[in-house]
Amino acid sequence: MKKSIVLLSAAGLAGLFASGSAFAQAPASVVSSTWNIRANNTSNITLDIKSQATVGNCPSISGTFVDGAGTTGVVGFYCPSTGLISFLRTNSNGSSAQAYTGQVITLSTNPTVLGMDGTFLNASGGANGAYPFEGSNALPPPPPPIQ
Amino acid sequence: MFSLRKTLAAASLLVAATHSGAFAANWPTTIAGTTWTGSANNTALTLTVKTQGGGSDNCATITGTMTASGGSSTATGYYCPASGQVAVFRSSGTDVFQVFSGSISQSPAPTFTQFALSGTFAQYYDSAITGFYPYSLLGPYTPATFSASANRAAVGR
Repeated sequence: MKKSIVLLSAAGLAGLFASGSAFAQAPASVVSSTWNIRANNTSNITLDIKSQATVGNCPSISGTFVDGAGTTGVVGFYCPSTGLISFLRTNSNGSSAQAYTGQVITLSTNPTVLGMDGTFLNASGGANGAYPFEGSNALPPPPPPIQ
Repeated sequence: MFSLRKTLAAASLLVAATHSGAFAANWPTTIAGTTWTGSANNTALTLTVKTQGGGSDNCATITGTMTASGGSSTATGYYCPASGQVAVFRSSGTDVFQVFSGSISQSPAPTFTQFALSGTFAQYYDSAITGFYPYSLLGPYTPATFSASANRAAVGR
């Protein structure tokens, strides 16, 4: 009886580890990654993360955010152990009215492809509130061939 | 059979009424003129909301100050009366260095405890401390619709 219990426990642990491989890991770094972002159903947004510090549990990141209104700076942090990311869109004077918080993952089927989704807070006045965003560093699909 | 249906319907209504009690109250329509004290990542913090107005239909712009041991800084953000959601961008000069997001508890009546505001804040810029941290604040005892004297009597102060 005791031997059976031991065998069952071992089988359970093996199953646990096997199922763990289905969960994608967060990448160690998000620097040098260019993201195609859709925020509150607005697409054609590019997030370019240019630097990531090497110290701390959630190192600082910086880059640029480009949308139809132009280019703004980005400062924030990324936590490699959890995949959490947060950044501010900053104006030239350092002010900010948008804060993005999300989760970065690698696709289990293609570890070179990163995904990100979460929520951004907009406190610019006219459209105060929380809105969804998502993004990927994968290149957009090519346009359909001309017939 | 018919009486069984009626009995079940009555029981369902009773259960619904009993369970909806915890969510029957509303959030305050305004938090202008309120002070919230408590801690953020175990550090004492006071949020003073001075104004509320403008903004979108659902979430009004708020302005005020945040005061901790390091001094006072500017707080701007929004409050959504229909959902209790709050966002505060804390800045030194123009530089935003912390963003607080959270929820206000619903009207404390009839238990007459304080409104609570809690959630998570993100710390930016210094890699040694960047990350997410919890905060929890307590605010006024009454919604704006209550008179201060009635509330003082109710809480025995």
